[in-house]
Amino acid sequence: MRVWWVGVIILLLAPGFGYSAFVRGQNAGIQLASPRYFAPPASTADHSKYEELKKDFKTPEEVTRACLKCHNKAGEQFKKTLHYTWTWKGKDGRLLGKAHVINNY
Amino acid sequence: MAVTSNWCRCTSCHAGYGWKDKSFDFAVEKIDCLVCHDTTGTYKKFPTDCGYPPLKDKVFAGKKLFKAVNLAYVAQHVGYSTRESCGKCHFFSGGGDGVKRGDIDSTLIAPPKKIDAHMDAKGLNFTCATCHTTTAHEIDGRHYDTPAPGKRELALPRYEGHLVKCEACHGTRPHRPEKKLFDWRLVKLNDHTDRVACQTCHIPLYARGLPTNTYWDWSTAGRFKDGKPIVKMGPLGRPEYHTKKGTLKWGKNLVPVYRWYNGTYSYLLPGEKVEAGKDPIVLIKPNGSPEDPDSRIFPFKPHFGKQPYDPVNKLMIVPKLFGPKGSGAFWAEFDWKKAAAAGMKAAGLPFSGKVEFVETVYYHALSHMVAPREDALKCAACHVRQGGRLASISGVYLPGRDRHVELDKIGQTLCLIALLFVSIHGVARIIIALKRK
Repeated sequence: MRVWWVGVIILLLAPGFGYSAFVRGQNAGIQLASPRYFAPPASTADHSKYEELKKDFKTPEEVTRACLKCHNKAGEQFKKTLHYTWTWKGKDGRLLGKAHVINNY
Repeated sequence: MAVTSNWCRCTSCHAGYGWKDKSFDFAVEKIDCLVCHDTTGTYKKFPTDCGYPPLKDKVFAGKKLFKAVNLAYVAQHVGYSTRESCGKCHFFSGGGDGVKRGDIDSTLIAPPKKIDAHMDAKGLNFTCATCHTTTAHEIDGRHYDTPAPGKRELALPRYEGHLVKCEACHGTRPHRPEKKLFDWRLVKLNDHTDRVACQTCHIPLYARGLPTNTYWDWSTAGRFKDGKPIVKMGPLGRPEYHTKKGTLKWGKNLVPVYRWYNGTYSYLLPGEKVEAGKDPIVLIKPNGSPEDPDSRIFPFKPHFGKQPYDPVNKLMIVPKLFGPKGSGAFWAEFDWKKAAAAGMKAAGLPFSGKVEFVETVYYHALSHMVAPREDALKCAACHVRQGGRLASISGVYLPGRDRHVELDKIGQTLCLIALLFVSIHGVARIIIALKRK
């Protein structure tokens, strides 16, 4: 029996695999703690139950200190981000970021 | 115009507390956790308090009441960021709703599909963070001279990485037939993705929600009528003239301008000499060129302005706008020379004492408010001889727009010759056939 048509089918399908859905990105294989796609996962904590937060806060800094007591890496993480520094070190060494640039608004 | 010397007004949108001058200490306890993580919608920062929320009821600009924030209540109801929490600052950039961006305004709190196909409150209902994927408080996006992270490749569901680029979910051949197995028209459409960004066709117009500012002439600011400031409203419900701001122009449903863009920007910084000429000075511009394989044709909102410039030192002026009387602030004393002197001093830059007003432009990439597929641009928006959207784009052969007249003539001549010979051959065969009978 002649099976030449099997080869023809393989040849026809081969280019299709070229761009099919294999993960090749720079983060292939990295699995982070909270997989979320279209909606964040339900929270596992009810913050209104924490004693640390049932206080008569006088300043917003006291709230931040209370947050950082449990989220003890968040401060150091956030400190470095653009939302806090408003500074971005450009590739040519110039300081960019909201605190350094000028616009016409 | 610049944060320097205007801290407490500008830093009311800083995710921190008390950035009131150059010496701000970026300590961890000065971080504002609540502004992003508030889920109650009751946490708002006071517009002139250097990032602090009002702890007592306070009135802004004699009109708007800011209620005292109940810190414990907000702290007990923290959660993931929402469209509203990001929007508290980002919808209002430029000093008001939709002023600056043109593709981000408060309609995105609960938008219809027509405005944003992904954030559609009754449909996919994305938040900002659905695309702006975040790892350890580092939020994905384009950062000044650094493109948004992630490769132009297809990510599978459950694949965790950077989803901020369209291609991360949609791939580089994004158009797929819905009902048929194969649709030849989509093959051609998919061939565009190496040169045309998704945004170009899928954000057909900007400022589809609220009006956005298109022109801002600071030179006319400071006029009074009978000693009182003037606010003259225009047809779009936005001021045409404002004593503090000058002459303003607004637009809605605007056609973008298109540029080659590789995901990075160039900035003119205060302190860098620039010559004022006939064309507007470009303050912030996208980088890219047709030779660069990472560049795509991309839509932008151009924002034109007329702002103070030092003609002797050839520097853009950092003016002090906000501050009390006696500080030199323009909004207190309405004197550009004093404002320039105070601002440039704060910035540590020289000032000659002369103020001129120069035209400037600032380009904003449009990536938000992606329209539903039926509103995407059709072929003829660009593939026309004249007046197409990409009329000014160079470096690429655009069928329908571009032609080579001589080549066309050669082709037409060859076709005519072929037709002639075919006709001769055909006639000859008919004659021979008739003769054979």
